[in-house]
Order: sequence, then structure tokens, then C-alpha cells
Amino acid sequence: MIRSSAKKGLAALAAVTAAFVLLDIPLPWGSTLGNMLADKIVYPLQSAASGAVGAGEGEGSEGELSQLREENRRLRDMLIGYYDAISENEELRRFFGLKEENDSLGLLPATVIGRDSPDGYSALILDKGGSDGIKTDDLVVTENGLVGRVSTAEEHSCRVVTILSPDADIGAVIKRTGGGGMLSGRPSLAAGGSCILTGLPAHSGCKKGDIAVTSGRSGVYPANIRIGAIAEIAYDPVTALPEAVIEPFENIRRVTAVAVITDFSGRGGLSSERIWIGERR
Amino acid sequence: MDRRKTIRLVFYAAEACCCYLLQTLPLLPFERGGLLTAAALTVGVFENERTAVLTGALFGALADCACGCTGFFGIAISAACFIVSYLYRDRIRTSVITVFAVAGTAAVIIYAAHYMIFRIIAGFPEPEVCLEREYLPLLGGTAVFIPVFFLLNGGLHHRLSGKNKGAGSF
Repeated sequence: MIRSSAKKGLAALAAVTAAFVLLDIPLPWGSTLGNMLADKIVYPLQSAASGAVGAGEGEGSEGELSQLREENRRLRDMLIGYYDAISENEELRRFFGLKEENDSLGLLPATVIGRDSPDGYSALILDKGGSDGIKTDDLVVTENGLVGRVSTAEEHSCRVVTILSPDADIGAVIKRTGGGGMLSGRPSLAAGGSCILTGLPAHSGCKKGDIAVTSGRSGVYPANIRIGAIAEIAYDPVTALPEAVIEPFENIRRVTAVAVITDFSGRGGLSSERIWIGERR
Repeated sequence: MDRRKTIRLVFYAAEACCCYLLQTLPLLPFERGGLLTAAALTVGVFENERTAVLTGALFGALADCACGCTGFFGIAISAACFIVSYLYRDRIRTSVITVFAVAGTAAVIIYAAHYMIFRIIAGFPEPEVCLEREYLPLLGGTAVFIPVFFLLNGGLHHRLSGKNKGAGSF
């Protein structure tokens, strides 16, 4: 005989299960109801908390008289706006070097407000989304190099798959030799902050220290975005083809401020870099 | 709903938000914490089945946001909270040791199911590395926080319920 409280609990469990199934149903525009709710409710909270964690000292003291308090409040608001402008200028200045090298790039600064994976480094959440011009497959970079690509973009936030994730799948070339492959992550390498470039030609001629950049051949991603340097050459145990372990120029596990490449000249082309390099899975 | 229960529910919601932020904010040391799972299961010890399921759903939804897998933790943690609550209504004596054993077992089952579905069945590369570097630290973190949340949620329930739940007492 089941207690009435247990029956109510089972009914609640059935309702909860149905609700979560509904939240995961894909919508016509590529998102899900769960992602939309997270974008509207959870990520703004996360963004606010992220700002508080990165915030500096507290506010100054208030004056004793109400007029002085009011003036303090007004000056404080002006100061907040001033610091926002300084911060934005600093971010844009950091990415100016990248912009000089590739003057066709459209760059949008963004902040990492969360990590969206159990391992803590495979996926990031940024505080900018579709309303800011971000689209799926936009590359995410810092002044040091590539971080990852946008996998889903909600209205006010987006999810980024980093180059340490097995789902990264970004076309890359070794700059010195021109040999191309597919960049992605592996769990055994990701903990050490490295990723791997597979699909290199049999006699690629690449060696330790060679620089890897994005290939841009498919038109999905811009070309010549720095990724990292070869730390080691390995060989696929099945095909015996060379694979390059890449040590990224950016510390993916510690990155907090990034820029999203929202546009570049030559954009357009095949829908997936894997179509260009050939299906591998 | 009486005022005491309302206060407890508000506290659980705040607790869920805090655990989520601690687990997901960059540069904080709780990335592998398993805080949400530990907190949800200990709530199930002290509340009735329906409240445990609904609270577990909130914690699970936030765990889904943290892991990028919509629905799994929401359903799994809700179901685990229901079972924990059902057992603790009048079948198991409430103590740190029994809570650690029962909640720990539930956490092992939840993470094992997640590993099977999202690593083995999904064909994720190097699943053995994932087990060693993701799931074992996650389980360890959950185990560490189960007694902490048991004391926290138990103290709250003891203060605000005005009665002892189950065969044992906190």
C-alpha cells in the first residue's frame, strides 16, 4: 500500500519528467525551450555574479547630509560609466593587434560568465548572444589566439565549444609546411591544456615548435587565426598518420575575457569544415 | 502552506542558486564540486516526497545548465530525491552515516548513468580518461559535501519544522 504522500511524490515526479522532456524539444529556429529559459533567467544571474566576483573594492563612504549623499550617488554613477568605458577601451585595445593583422575581422568583446561542462574547460558561456550579432560557428579568440567556436547562440548569451573539446572540429594548417588537418580535443590532453591536430598528410614534414593557424579554406572560419605551437608529433595507432599535439597560445582553462569574430571577408562556403577535409567519424 | 515551510523552500531555492554559481563561475575552486547533487539529496532526507521531487527538479535543472545536458540531471536528481525521501519517511533512521551511505549511493548511480549515456553510448573519445579526470573528482566532491549539506539542511528543518521527521531525529 503506497502512502498518499508517496503517490503525490510520484505524480510530481511524472510531471517533472514530462516538463524536462518538453524543455528539450528543439524549436524551429534551432534552440530549445530549456536554453531560452536559461538565457532569460539563469545566465543574467550568472553574469551579474561574475561581475561581482571580478569587481574591485566597495563603494566609498557616504556623506552625512542628504545633499552630499545625493551628489555622491550621482558621482558614483558617473564613475561607473567612466570605468565601463575604460574597461571596454582596454578590451578593444588588446584585440587591436589582432584587428591590424586581419583588418577585415569584425570583433565583439565578451566576458566568460560560466563554464558549461563537467570538466570545466570544454565549453564556456559568454555574456553576448544573437542580439549582439553572434551566430553559430563564430570563432572566439583572445589577443593570444584561438579559444573555440560558438556552438549555440541564444538571444543574450552563447555557448562556446573550446579547442580542448572533442567537438571542436576546426580546420587548421601548419603555417610553415602548409599541411592541413582538423583541430579538436581529447580528454587525455585537455587536462594538460593541449589539443590535437589530426588528418595531417603522411609526409607533412611538421616538427615541434611549428605554428598552427586556422585554415579558412572552407569559408566557415577566417584564416590565419593563431592557435598554438606543436608540442609533440604522435602517430595514429590505426592509420599510422601523423598527429600534432598543439599547445595553445591561450590558457583555455583560465580565460575570462574574449572576442567573438562576428564577420570577416570571404565568409560563406561549406556548412562544415568536415565536408572539406573529408568525413572522419 | 505554512510559513515555516515557505521559508524552507525559499532557503532551498537560494541554496540552489548559490551552489550553481559556486560551481560555474570562472576562477572559483568549485568546478568539480558536485554541490548541487549533494545539496539536493540531503533536502530529500528531510522533506516529504512531493517537496523533495520539486526541489530536486530545481537543483537538477541548474545542474543541467552547468553541464550543458538539458534534462538528464533534472530527471535523475528528482527521482533520486523521491527515493531518498520515501526511504527516510519511516524506514531509515536519520543520521550522518546513513545519509552519507544512501545519498552517496544515489550520487554514484546518477553519475554512473551520466557516464554510460554521455560517454560510453555517445562514443565520446577516451572514456576511461573521462572517468578518472571528471567523474571520480565529481563523486569525491559530492561525497565531501553531503555531510556539510546534511548539517545545514537538517539544522534548518529542525529549526523550522517543529517536528522530527522519520524514525530517527536530526
